Amino acid sequence: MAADRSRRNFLKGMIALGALLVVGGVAKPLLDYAVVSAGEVTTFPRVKVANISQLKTNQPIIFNYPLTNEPNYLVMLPEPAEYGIGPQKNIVAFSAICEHYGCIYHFVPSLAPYGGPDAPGGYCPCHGSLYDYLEDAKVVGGPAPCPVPRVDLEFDNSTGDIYAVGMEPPTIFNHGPPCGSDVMDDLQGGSVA
Amino acid sequence: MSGLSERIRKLTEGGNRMLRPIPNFSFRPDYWMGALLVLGFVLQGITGFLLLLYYVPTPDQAWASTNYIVTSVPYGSLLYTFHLYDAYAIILLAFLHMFRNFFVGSYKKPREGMWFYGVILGLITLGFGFTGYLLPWTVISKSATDVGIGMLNYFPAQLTAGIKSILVGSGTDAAELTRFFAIHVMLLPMLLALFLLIKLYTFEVHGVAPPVGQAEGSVAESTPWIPDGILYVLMLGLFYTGGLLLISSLFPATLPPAYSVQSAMTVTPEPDWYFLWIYQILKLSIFGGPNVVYALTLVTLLFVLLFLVPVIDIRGGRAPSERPVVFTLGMIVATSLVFLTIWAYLTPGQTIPFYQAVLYIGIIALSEGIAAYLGLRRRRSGRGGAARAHPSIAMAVLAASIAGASASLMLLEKGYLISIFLIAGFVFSSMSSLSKIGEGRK
Repeated sequence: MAADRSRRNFLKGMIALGALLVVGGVAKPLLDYAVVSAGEVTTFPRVKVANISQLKTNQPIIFNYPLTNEPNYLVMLPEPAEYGIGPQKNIVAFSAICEHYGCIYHFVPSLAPYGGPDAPGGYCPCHGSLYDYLEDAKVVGGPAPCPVPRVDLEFDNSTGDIYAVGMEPPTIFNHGPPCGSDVMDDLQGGSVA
Repeated sequence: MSGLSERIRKLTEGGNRMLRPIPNFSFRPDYWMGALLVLGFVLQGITGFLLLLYYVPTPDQAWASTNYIVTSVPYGSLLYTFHLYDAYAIILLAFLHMFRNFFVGSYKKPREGMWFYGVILGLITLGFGFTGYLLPWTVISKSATDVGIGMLNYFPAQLTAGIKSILVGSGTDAAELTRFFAIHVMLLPMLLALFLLIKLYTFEVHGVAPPVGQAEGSVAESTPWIPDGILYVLMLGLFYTGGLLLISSLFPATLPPAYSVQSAMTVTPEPDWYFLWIYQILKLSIFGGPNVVYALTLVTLLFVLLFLVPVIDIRGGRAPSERPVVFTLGMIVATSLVFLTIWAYLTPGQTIPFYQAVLYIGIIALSEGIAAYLGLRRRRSGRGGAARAHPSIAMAVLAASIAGASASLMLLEKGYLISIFLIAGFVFSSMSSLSKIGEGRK
């Protein structure tokens, strides 16, 4: 009887081992299949966004950059802005994704009706975050933990073309840790614009 | 002729030998909420399959194909509305089912397992809601879903990178939609079937919980399944389906506009109603900015606590008077849920001052706590005759009062006093009628 029992235990062990092998063998490929590894993109593309002739004061143009699902506002402000480009130093571009919870915020000609300064900028309808576009999207109201990132722009004096060439920190919402400093995270999770 | 009726008699006898007879006390709708939920999910399977005949899960086709179903396919609008309203009914029923079983204490030994599987099934149900919300690719649903996913970023990356990657894949819109679609129509139905099977098996092992105050396994009069049981369940099921059909026909749902960055600029993304209470917690002023991680942790802890109810409340019997603290806490949670939902609905996108939330919830907790204490105390002092109110009626009063009182608390703005009296009065009267349950056993 004793021998019988040890044989039974051995067989049970083999079944358990077999089950473990199957589960273990399947689990790894399954995870690798479902989880997408980080992309290979390591440099910011240089993309023509618009020509200065298309821009009208306080009327933003929406463009995706650096990835196809990362909208930004390109806007000509009524007065020179910090880091502004163009002949009047009044053209800026910022990510359109609020740094608080990731809503698409609105561009408004004046933040005053929402409790901010009388300056053009971003107003988020979700929780009322305010970004002052004249001062590099500084947070001037609401719960946002940091400014929305600025898009590095280049202006071609001869043609009037405006190019997006990179992103400034902090990182775009949903890329890396909130308000992260490594702009390479902006290139993860999508395909390049 | 006689041969045929003889055959039918034999068949029913055979059926009744297989199916355990139904205790007479359980011929009441609140005993069949779980059954109605199963029916609700079967209807979702059928209508879901029909929607799949036309729906295309790609970012440029999702809204257009849904719109085509609603506007061009015969009965498509009814189908779309029915699938949506049945989902709402399921979520509402699931909450009622949970609170009903909490208040009658049927999670107690030996039915702890039923509670655990129930909470898991509840999470699967909410998962259905979360993933299904995105599929029509409307401006509100897509924006709100992205906000939901974005919240994962506030947790440490090591914890959430895997979940996020599984949910949205490479992060493009197409990958997000494809994966939500796959989870909604394949993964969740499989998980639902699995846990439903486990739960039904457990139910068959333990049988239905007797009414509060009746001993486990005490002999109850019962009725065979064929024909009375079948007819009763058929009636409930037809009422449910027919009611939903009627409501869907009378109030067809409209499809919100399609998602685009341009259209997203003009809306305030909001979760669907069943997530509004979480949304309201997230909007509290103290959870602003990076502090949102504490709000999310709090909500997660609430779900863990919910799961552990049978482990926490192990002593005593099932009657409210035998577990006054747990019972009262349950009432406060139920009221707060209804209250936060209505409040969130009334304050879209507004940050809520923390002191205000503490004040409101404090009023609810205090008035319910005191009223429940006084109501349940009457039992010990021996006043009041035999229980007149049927427990289920008391429950209904309780539920209605909770919803009504908290709604009025909100709508009356400054009517704190009225609300306190409303809540306290209803809780007191229902608790004092409930307090007599279980006395017969002593």
